[in-house]
Amino acid sequence: MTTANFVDFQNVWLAYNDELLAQNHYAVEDINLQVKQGEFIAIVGPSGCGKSTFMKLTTGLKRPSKGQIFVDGQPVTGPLKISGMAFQAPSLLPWRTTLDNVLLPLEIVEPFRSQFKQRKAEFAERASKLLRTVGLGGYEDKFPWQLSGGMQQRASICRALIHEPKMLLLDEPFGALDAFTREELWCILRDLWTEQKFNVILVTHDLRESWPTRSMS
Amino acid sequence: MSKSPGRFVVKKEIDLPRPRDLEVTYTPEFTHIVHELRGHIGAMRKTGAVTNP
Repeated sequence: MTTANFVDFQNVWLAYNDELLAQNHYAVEDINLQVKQGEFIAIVGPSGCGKSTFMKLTTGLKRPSKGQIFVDGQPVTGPLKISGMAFQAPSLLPWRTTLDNVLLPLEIVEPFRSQFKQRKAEFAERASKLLRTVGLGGYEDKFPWQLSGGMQQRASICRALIHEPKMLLLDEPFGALDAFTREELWCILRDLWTEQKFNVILVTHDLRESWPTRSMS
Repeated sequence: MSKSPGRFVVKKEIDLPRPRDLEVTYTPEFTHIVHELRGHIGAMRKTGAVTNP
């Protein structure tokens, strides 16, 4: 772990369009946040508080109206390759097997994209290994409809991690699951993080879910 | 975070020792932290006002 800030928000404000900006109507206001490399943080708040907006800013999907955002020492000017995301809905592609869903980012993100054909066997092994760590060994060839909700969500976390991102962003990832499955996935996530020490930014309205972390509300 | 405006209201470092077993979430220490953070959100929901960190 270094002492440098991995994520650095400096007085960040975002209005979704020029009209709202003219009315001084911001989705998020005056966000200041410094996160160290490998830290696990949670952002907690009620629905509509701008948690998802915060995620879009962090990954470069939205540019701030005011202020600056740095990730890994670089100003964020567009979508980041070093991040992985998972959402409340697992959003697996129904026509792809579990393995092919997990492999999807490698087919899209460089430098993996141009190497995908040559290194497919190696990538598939990496995906299988990740699936085994979340208890989905043997499910590689199953389609999403053949998996339970909790299994689909585990697969979607594998998909978010397959390109070994430095930063994992989770937007209410376990909200739709029953309490027992949720607790099980907390532990899986904790173990993956303990082993790999990527940065985690977890957005949730469930205070108990911020259990692994430093937390903000 | 508060809602309208979307601002950070409180930042809190969680000092519980790691690794954190699931059982930690049933301890008084953990419940105390949840309760404290819940209090901030509850206060905002009631008044709509932003409390200071």
